[in-house]
Amino acid sequence: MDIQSHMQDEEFLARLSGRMMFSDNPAFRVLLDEARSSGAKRYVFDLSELASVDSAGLGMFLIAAEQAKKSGLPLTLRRPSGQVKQLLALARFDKLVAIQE
Amino acid sequence: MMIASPPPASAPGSLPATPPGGVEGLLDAKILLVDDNPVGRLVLEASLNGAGFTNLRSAADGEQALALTAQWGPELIITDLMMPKMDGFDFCRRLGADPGHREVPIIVQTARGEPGIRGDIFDAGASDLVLKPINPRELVSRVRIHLERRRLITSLTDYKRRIADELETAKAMQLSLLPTPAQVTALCSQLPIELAGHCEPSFGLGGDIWGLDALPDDRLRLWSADFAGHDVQSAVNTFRLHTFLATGGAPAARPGDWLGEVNEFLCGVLPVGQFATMLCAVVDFKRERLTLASAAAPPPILGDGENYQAVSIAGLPLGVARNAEYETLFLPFAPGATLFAYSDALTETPNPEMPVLPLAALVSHLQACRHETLGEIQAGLIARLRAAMPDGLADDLTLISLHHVGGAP
Repeated sequence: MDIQSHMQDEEFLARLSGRMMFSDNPAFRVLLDEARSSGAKRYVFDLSELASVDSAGLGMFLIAAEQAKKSGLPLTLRRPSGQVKQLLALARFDKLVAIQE
Repeated sequence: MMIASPPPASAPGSLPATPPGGVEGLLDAKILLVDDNPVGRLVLEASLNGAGFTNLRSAADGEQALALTAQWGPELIITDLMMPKMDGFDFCRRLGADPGHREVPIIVQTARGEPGIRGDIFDAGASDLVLKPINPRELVSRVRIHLERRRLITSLTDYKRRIADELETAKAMQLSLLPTPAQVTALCSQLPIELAGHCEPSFGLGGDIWGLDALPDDRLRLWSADFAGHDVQSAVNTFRLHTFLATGGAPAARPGDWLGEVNEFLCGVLPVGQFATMLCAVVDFKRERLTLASAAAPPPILGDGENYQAVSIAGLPLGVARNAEYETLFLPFAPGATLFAYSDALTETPNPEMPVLPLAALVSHLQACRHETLGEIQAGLIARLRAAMPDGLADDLTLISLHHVGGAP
């Protein structure tokens, strides 16, 4: 998986692309640390270029959702598609975070 | 399911810093000296004694050396090349062909330094060579290196064997959590069903578990869960779940409520990032009805005897949010019907993007094979996955087929 992130207008935006799997765990943890220390008021993960997520990736999103909930800041998963969209729907992620088409 | 949380700072399987009997205790190593020339043996003995090695024995030719090796079990052998009866080359070859002693390092001493001869010595199976006249410091250094290496390999091999033994024990314990063939047969004689289950960890221990509960009034509950996490971590969670369920932790009859009870339990024991997906199905044979609930489990597939389709049902994974609610779906389940549940390895091998059996293909496959036995159908699916990943699956695989054969319960 490739991650690109930047801050704009108090929004921490991360674009995830490629395949998200167990080996991405360390990089994703770093991303969450960056998000936490960025001072942003909201987090957005753009998933439009993310091709697939396995259950380890689902676990990472759960950690992200928990972190956002604890900090009281909204997390949005933007434009999931294909397998990623299906998996988020299967796991009813819309109950945990905002999913934006 | 695959793994979710980061590796712990200190891996539980890490080796002790110094292997038992490691480099500190080399001086008691058993060293066999092989030379037909008494003066040659004395030179070797003196060099090694000088460095503190005391556990030495000698042989005058290859035959004697083989006999002594079998009887005494030296940890290292230093041999001359030119000897009567059996020379150093033959000795190396014979020892190399002996499964009990082929790992013993052999240092060959030779007066002949030509490259061709040196190559022949290694080809015969020697680990190293020293040139005559013997330089005691070089000899001792080489002896130390080979002994250290040998002891390290031995301790690693022992450690690996111990871990493998423990893993086998744990694996057998985990297998005992699943319904036994006898239990399945007993249920099949009480209820109008055929049932086949397959549960296979990808490596060592797995995070998949499934079970069956005979309920009052000719009803049967079938459930299947898949824990995310490391091998051992997710396996331990299967034991937790099994204990919770086996001690009556989830009394609710309706699958959605039942998953809610399991969820409350798992929310209390799983840390953030760990979760389980689970399917719960209850078949009511009197009403010919199936009730289903899912916590992010792969969509089960339902056939009425002719047509098969994936059941669209979703739900939060278990262990993520307290008070989560799970929908219960009501479906007909008449004689001839088949329910097929599975773990995500089936539809995500070799990877989730380009699986060999995407959901639509799986449904078509089950439809096409509907006249085969449940066991044959599962064997066919497993063969397709194995063909896609010949070196072994990357994730635990569970397949459960339940077929309503008809007739009064």
